[in-house]
Formats: sequence, structure tokens, C-alpha cells
Amino acid sequence: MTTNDDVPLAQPVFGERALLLPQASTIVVGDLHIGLETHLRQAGVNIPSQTQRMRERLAKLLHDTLARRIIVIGDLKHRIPRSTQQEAIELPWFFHGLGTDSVELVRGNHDVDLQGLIDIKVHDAGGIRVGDVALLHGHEWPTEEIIQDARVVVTCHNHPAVMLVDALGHRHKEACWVRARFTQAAQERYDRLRPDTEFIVMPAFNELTGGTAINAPEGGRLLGPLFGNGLIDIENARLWTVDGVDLGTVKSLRKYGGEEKAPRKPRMFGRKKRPGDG
Amino acid sequence: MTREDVFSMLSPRWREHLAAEGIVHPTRAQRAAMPVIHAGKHVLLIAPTGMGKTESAILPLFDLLLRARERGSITKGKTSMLYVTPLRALNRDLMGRLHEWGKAIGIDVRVRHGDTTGPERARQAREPPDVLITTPETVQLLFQGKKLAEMITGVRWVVLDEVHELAGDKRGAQLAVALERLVAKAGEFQRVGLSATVGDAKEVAAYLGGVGRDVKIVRVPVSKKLDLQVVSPKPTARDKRVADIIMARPDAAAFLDAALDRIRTGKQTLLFVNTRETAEVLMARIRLLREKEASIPEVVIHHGSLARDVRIAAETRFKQGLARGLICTSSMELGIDIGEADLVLQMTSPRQVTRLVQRVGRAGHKHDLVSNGVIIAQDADDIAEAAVIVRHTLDDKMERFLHPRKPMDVLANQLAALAMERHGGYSDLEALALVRRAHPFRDLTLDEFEGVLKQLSSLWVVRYENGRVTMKKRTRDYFYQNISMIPDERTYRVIDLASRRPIATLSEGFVASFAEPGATFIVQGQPWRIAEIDTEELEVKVAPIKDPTGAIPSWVGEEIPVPYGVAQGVGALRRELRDRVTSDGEEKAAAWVQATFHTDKDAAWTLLESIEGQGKFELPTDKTITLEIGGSVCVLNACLGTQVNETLGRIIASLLTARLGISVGLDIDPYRIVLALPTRIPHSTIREVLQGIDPEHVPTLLGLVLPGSTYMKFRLFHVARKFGALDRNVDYARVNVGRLLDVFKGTPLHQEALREVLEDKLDVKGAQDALRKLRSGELPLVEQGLSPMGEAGLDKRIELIAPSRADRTLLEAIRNRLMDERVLIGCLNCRAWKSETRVKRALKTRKCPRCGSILIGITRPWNELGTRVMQRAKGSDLDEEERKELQRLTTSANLVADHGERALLALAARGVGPETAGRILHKLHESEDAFLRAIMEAEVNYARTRQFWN
Repeated sequence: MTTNDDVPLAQPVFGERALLLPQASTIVVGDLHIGLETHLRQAGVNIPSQTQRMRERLAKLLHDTLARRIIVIGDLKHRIPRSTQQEAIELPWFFHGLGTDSVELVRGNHDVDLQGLIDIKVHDAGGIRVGDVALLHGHEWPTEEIIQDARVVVTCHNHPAVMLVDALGHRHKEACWVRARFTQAAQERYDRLRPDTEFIVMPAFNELTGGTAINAPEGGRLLGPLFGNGLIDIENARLWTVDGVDLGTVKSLRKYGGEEKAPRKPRMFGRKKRPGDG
Repeated sequence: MTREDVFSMLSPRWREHLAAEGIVHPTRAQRAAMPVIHAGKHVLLIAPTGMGKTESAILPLFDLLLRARERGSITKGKTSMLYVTPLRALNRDLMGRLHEWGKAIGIDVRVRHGDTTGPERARQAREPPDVLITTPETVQLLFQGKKLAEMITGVRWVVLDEVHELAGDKRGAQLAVALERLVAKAGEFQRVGLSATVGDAKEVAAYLGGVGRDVKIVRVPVSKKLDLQVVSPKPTARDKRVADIIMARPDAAAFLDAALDRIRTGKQTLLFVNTRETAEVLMARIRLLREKEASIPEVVIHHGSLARDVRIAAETRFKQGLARGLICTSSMELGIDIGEADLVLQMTSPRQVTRLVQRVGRAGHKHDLVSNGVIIAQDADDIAEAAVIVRHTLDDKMERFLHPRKPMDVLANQLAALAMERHGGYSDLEALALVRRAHPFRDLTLDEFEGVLKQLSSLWVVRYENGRVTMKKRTRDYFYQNISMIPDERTYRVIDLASRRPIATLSEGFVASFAEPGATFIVQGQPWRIAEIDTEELEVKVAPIKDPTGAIPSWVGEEIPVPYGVAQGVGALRRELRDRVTSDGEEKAAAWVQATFHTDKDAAWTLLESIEGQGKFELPTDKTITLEIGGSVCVLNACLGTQVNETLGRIIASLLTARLGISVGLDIDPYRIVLALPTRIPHSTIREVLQGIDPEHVPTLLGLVLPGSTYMKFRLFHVARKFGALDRNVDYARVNVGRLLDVFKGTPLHQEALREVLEDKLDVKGAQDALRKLRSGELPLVEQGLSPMGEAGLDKRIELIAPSRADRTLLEAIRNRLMDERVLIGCLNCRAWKSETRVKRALKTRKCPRCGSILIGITRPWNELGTRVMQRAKGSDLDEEERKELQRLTTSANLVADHGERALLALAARGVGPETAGRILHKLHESEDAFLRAIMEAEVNYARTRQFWN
């Protein structure tokens, strides 16, 4: 969405899962889930921590966009209700030395027990406002305050993805951006909601998290009160891949969404013959 | 040396006992082996199964033990001898006998493996046996625990049974390192290896000895003659009736009947099949038949997935002669004691010469001169394959197999084991030196070693600090979850609800894919219905049912690969047969087949018919490859064997996939590469792709192509387990292996999975060789439609080779979106008409409805400048800006007039103005997809350099 000056208020950074607010010199990211590896370990999947890689990505973003501020719109950390050792070690240094003027966090549903782990400003889940842009995680209602007269509303929380199934049944899923409008119902709920307000769902910054296919045929269960109460026009929402391919509307992409259930059985190669089994 | 002399080296007490047992004269194997073993040398003894290999080793070794004890050079309270055999269902009779012999002369012989009871294990720890019979996995456990570790420091002799199998796999590599670890604890010991007949004895000997140890090879010649035959029964009237009963086709019935007939007329018969699946299907059919026909003999079934009790019961019944037929798989190639069989039947080709030799070797009694084997073959390919294998067997042409080189997951596993061995662990250089003494790791570099250590450390499996490898909290858990190198999936036990007893095991893959309450499958030839699945306890509870139709046998196992040599042999057979028919006529040609390849008349004529059935089509042989296309299927008939075809197939399929942007289906057999294409493709495309592959690039291409494949993912999953990245309780079905790949790309873990696939499943050199010949013309490529021989390879199971990103679908989505974009069109001639519409409808407007001009300009509705210009009456004054815009609009109108729909799509794209559109349109695109891709690239470029979205 542009102002009359044609300078966009909020634009994705090409190739990354981050939003740039050029007029506010701010980078917005969400769903970092620092500490995810510990969870995976408990489930039996052991991989080295990817946190440093995320940190490097952030540094590059700041460098390339010349932004001075970072706002994390929720789920900075992963484990609830308490924090793990990994989080206790990694969170404190995560934002150090990145060269920003400020870092702020808008609470997500995973952001509990942050006491002492970070020394950044933490905002409530209802959201904050930066110029004409409202920022929140998405698991709770945005406040009346941040919605009124906003031109853009940015959330994450849903880890959006697009599913593409080809003629032979092969499935390919990748993270994507969602750009939508509010429905009439939203006008009734919020007093001063502009009719042309743009609604954005960001893809998760952490590349290891799974994603929800927005174009799944049964309508993909999207989380948060805005979706749950029909305040967002999903069918006409548009999806973009992280590398800039405009895929069109969710409505037109449903036919590539595949079936939820079909377990496409891969050709399972058994083990080589061994003595004793045969 | 006379017959008596060999036994004369044994001490009197031992000799006496043997005589009392009736063992007075040594066998050939014993005569050959005993002197060398008794002299204390490392020995590899090669003899066919059933020649008393075990005794050949035990006789002299027991003697050495007795003498050493008399001299006082054996430490009391420790184990002196390890007998390692890969079988869990050990040859009980043999073990019993060894135990008795030992007892008679004061040597304590005990067995220890996974099923050994707690009390027995405790006993062994308290009173270490002199001789311990055990499995490779249990050997790993002997290093753990103070008492056991102490016990093995007394080892002076180690026997490796079925050592040829060990030399060929990772289990063996793991054992090889364990033996070096044993040397570090106990000092050097004598190594004796017992092997079946193989083609690469030197390699096996090198494996046995490790680096720097000399091993003597003792070969006992195959004294028995092999009487081999290939038959292929044609269905009779009776077979049609049988077919109805067993719900199969008449030729399947004939096949079965041929086997049952021989079982009935023979004494004890072994029926070998190649997969567990086939075994179960056969058994199910026989059961059905037995219900209706009294004359069908009793047959039992035996394979590795059946519960232990079930297997033992089958073995016993067969041994006692109550069942006269035993359906079995490769597990029976080894020394399981089932008494003696008079005849070995092989159902369909055994695929490899080595297999046939080992299987037929199970027939015949110790003193017979002849081993009888009959291969019952189904179709022309099968007959040809069996025929060639028979010929090669008689000509003594056995295959040589590749042994695993530096398997990194084994190294990982043993590094953890070393860390656990002692408090303080090992220094890295010490560990490296030790591991390098094992044959599979003789070439291990320091870099490779460190790479694995570092990765293990990053996965918290071991601690690697200051040059030392020590335990971490996790090491123990990791070790006990990964004792065995066999990539097992977790297995579910199948419990019969009625008897409450376990009857079989099912792999987690099967349970994940097929199993659900109500589903049916076959075990022991019996159909069962699943009543309940307990994922906590890993149990599947079942109840028997009558009707086997629709019940799937549960093991989708890997087919034994057909080697290059055999496949070429088949190609040559086809060629020669064709030539002989031409020069000598049918009768003589058929007779030649029968005589040269030991086939029966039916088989020979079936082969003849398949050659003649090609008609005008070119015959694919060892010297000709045919490229056949029929509809959307392409078959490359190449007699190159399973592994070479697998390699070429994957590369071709991936290149096609990349070119077309959509998945291509792939299926392989030793004589064909089958491609399921999404649309009709001309021969020239395939030829180009094939001949365009630079042989030098094959390894690189595979490196790119393999990671996405299902097979590679499966391998990666198991290697990840062995490296400790995945715990044992993590299901294959639940892990996103693609993401795992991303995290571990380039690490030793990934490289090992790649190496495994390249060496075990593929054949890089063979593929390169074939490609060179194709390029040079030495191997001509003949194009034609789908011939009968090509069609014969069309099959059910296809693997999908998918593009890494669903490009085609992506492009389709973009096209749909463009069609839907809103545009403003207006007549640039009269300027009196304009319309806001969507692209798909704009297509219909070719002329201005007002003035009939074809100069229709197009722009986006929000282009204010453009909208204004379109409205300006003709002739009115335009300022600088407006004039430029008119220019652009006119250009766009011309593009539409020239290019129609394509122009509209291009102009509707984001950030694509008339100039860019013009460039895209004027370029020659080889397909609609290429055109769309160009548009997509322009849009992405705009998003990257200007604005992501507006």
C-alpha cells in the first residue's frame, strides 16, 4: 500500500523473511523461536543450534537496508511456560553488537518468562503503532488504539506457506507472504478501521519451523482471533513467495493445494539382505 | 600327508573323545585347514556350505587351547576364544555339540546374544567361559561393564563365521574396528575366518587380517557337481482349474505347480525366493490349494520377519520330514540347520551367480557327488537371466562385490564406543591409529577423522576437547540405541489375538503407510486382519481371516540387483539367438539354447518367441540400445544391469525434470529404464539429453540429483540415526528429511549417505563407461516406437523424480493470475472508447468497437497518466509527459496487435512496461513455459531491484 508519495509504508525485504518500514528505518521480524532446537532434541532430533545463523541474517538485513531499529513481533523465544538452558544462554547475546539504535519486542504467545533474559523493551500483545503501521503477533486481538486509522496491519504467528501439488502428485511447500484486506465484519468490530487498510501475515523468520499451507483446500486452520472470527478476507488474499513471485489469490491457488490427507507413499526401499533376516 | 596324519597333531585326550563321537577320519576341509590353523597362522577357509567348516576350525583350536592350558600360558578366569557368527538363530545342533565336546575335555563353551537370559549372562560374568559363541552386535557389548571387559582380555583366538558377508557390509566394518580394539586390550590373537565360495577371496582375507597381518587362504574345492536346470512351464488345463482356486492367472498356477510337483515327487526340497513378499504370496496360495486338493504336500515358510518360535517350528518340521517343502529366502543360504535337502528349487532367477551357488549348495548330502538345482522361470527376461546365470556358474564366473570404504557412520559409532571404553577416553591420535588398522579404514585421513569427531561433538554424542575423546551424558544413550549398524526401522510385533503369541514383525514403514484397524495382510501365508495398533507398545494385534484377496504381503523389500555381467549376458543371448534363428532355423536355435544353458524345451521356445515377437522392431542386445516412445511413456532398453541403469535413469530423469519443470516418473529393471512423462516428448529430446551428458560430470550430477530422491532421504535418515542426530524413537514418517538435509548439507553425515547410495545402489564407473560408448557410437542408440520387449518392462511401482521447486505449477499459477489482472484498454485511434476489464476478457477485443481500428492500447487502471492520455481527444495538445506516455501506449498496442495473448500477459505483469515486454516477446521461446518463465524472471527482478509489491 502506498501513500500518495508512492513510497511504500511496508515492504518485504527481497529474499528474506523480514519487513522493512522505510520511513521509520525499521526492520520487522517475527517467529524466531530461539530455543527450538532444544524442543527438537527432546523429540529425538538433534541438530546444532541455528541461532547464530539467524543473528547473522539480522545483521545483514540491517546492513543492507540501513535500518536503525528492529521490532520483533512475537515468539522471540520458543519454550513455554518456562525457559530452557539454550534460551538462557542464547537470548541475552542475541541482539548484542548488531549496531541498532533500539530493539523492541511485541509479545507473542511463546514470549513468557523473559525476565532477566533480555533487556529490551517489551510491549503487550495487543500491539504497537509505528507511524501508520500497526504491529502485533496475532494471537490476541489488536487494540482499538493501534487499529484506528492504520494503513497497514502486520502480524505473524501463522507461519504461512503455500502448497503446490503437480500433476503427478508431487508436493512442494514453501513459506510465503500473505497480503489481504479486512472484511465487512471487521468494520463492525473496530470503529475507525479504514476501508483500504492492508493486512499482512509474515512468514516465520526461523527457517526450521513448519508452515501452514494457506491454500489448503479445506481452508487451512488459521490461528488468531482475526481469522477465527472471519475478519480477514482470505479468499482474495494474495500470496508471494519469499523470492518475489506473485502467485495470485488464495482462491485461485486452492486447486494446487492438494488433499490434506493423502499420504503419498514413497517407494520404500527396504534394507539390504542380511544373514539372519532374508 | 596321509589321512591319519592330520589328526595326529591333536592331543591324545582330544583325539580319544573325537573317536568316541565317531570322528576318526578328517574331511577334505579339515585336511586342508587343520595344519595351517594348528600352526597358529591367520587363516581364511573357503568352502561351500555343509562341508564342516566349523569343525575344521574347532578341532585344531580346541587342541591349541588344551595345550596352552597344560603349559600354563592361559589366564584362568578369562575367555580365551571368541566364535563370532552373524546368526541370531544359531545352528543349535552345532552349538549343542560344541558345548558337549567342550564339556568332555574340560572346555566351557557358552553362547551369548540378544536372547540370552539374564541369569545366564550373570553366570557368564561370574564364571567366564573358555569359549564364547556370540554375534557381532554382542561383541560391542563385551567392552562395556567391568567384568566383561576384564574377561575378554584373555582372548587368544577369534573365529569369524560367514566372514564373506561381514567383509561386504557395515556390520563387518564395525566388527573390524572392534577386533582392533580387542587387540589393544588383549594383545594379538589368531584369526580364523570361515567363508562360503566367493569371487574375491583376497579382499575377504584382507578384511579378516586387518592392516599388516598375513592371512593364509585355504580353499576347499567344490567337489560336488552342480546339476542345474532352467524350466518354464506352460499352463495346462489343470493349471486353469488351479488358477481359479488360488485366484491367480493360469501361468502363475503353472509356476506354482511346477514347484509343488517336484516337492511331491522328491524327498526334502528347499524353495528359494528372492523377497519376503514373494515367499508370503506363494505360501498363501499353497494354503488355499491344500484346502481343496489332498495331493498337495505340506510346505512351511521361513524368513527373518517371522517370530523366532515360528521359525524354529518350521525348521524342525522340515528337518523331521513332516513338511517336505520349505519356502525360504537368503537367510537360508547360511548355516541354519534344517537337515539335508535333496533338491533346491529357485523360484524366478536368482539374480546373481553367487546366490545360485550358495543356494544350490544347500542341496545334497555330505557324501553325495551331485547337488541338484532347478530354476523355475516365469517370462522371457526371467528365463534369459536364469539361463545366463547357470552358464556363468558352470563356467565359474562369480561376481566380485565392492566392500564399503571408510563408512563414516561406523566410525562415528565406534568413536562413541571408544569414548565409553575407559575413563579418560582416548587421545584422538591413538584412536585414529587404532581405527586405521581395520581394513575398511586403512585409507582414513586425519581430516576425515577429525571431521567426524567434530560433528559428533556438535551433536553431543562425545566430548572432543584438547585432543581427547571422552564421554558425555548422552554417549551412553546413543550407544545403546545404536549397537547395531543394521538400519532397522523400529519394528512392531504382530500378536495373534487368539493365541496371544507373537507371529511376526512389521516394519514401521509398513505400519505408517498401510496399517490401520481393518486392513489385511499376509504372514506365514495366512491372511490376517488388523484389530488394533498400539503405537506405545509397538504392537499390532491381529485375527486370522479366510480370504486373502486384497491382502498385501507386508515387505516391500529391495530386489537383489542384477550385475552388469549377467545383464550383458542376457543381451548377448538375445543377439546370438536371433542370429542363429536366421542362419540355422528355429529348431536348431532352440536346441542350442537347451544344450548351452540347460533349459527345458518350453523355456527355450519361450525365449525364441520373445525374440521373434519383436518383429520389425530392433532387438535390444548387449550391443544395441533402443530408445522407444509410446504415448507418454519412454523406455530405454539397455542391458546394463540394475546399478548402471539406476544411475543413468536418475540422471536422465532429473535432467528432463529440470527441463520440463514437472515431475517425471522413473522405474528401473536390469534391462530397461522406464520414464513416465507428463506429456508427449519427441525422441530427439531424450536423445539430446542422453548424449549431452558429459561422462566426467556424472558424479557431480549425482551429487545434485540424489539429495531430492526418496531413496537418498531414506538413507540419510538412517545415517542420521547412526550419527546420533536422530533418536531411535523418531519415526521416518514424521521427520521432514528435506529440512534435515539442509541442516547437514556438506557434513560427514551427509557425505556418508551419499557415498552409500553411490557405492551400494549405483554404479558410477559403469554409467560413465556406457555414456562414453553412446557418445562415440560404439553403442548405437536406435529410435523406435514402443516394442513388445520395451512394453514388457512396464510396471506398477514408479518413483517420482521431482523438480526441486514445483516450477510448472508455479508457472501455471502465475499465468492464471495474469489472466485475472485488471487492465485498462482503449482505442488510440479515435480515443473515444475505453474499457476497464480483465486480461482474459481483453483477449477478445481485437478492434475498437467505435472506429474499427486495431490500435488498442493497454495499461493498468491505476496508471493515472495513461488513463488521462487515452481520454484526450485526438488532435488535442499533449505536453511532454503525455506525449511520452502516448508513445508507450502505442508501443503496447502494436505489441498486442503483433503477438496477441502473449503480449497481454506480458504487459499485465508487474514492473513490465512496453519496453521490457517487447524484449520478452521478441526473444524466441522454445515453449509456453519458457515464455512464462521469462515473465516470472522480469517480475522477480522488479521485486528485487525496485519494489517487492506495490
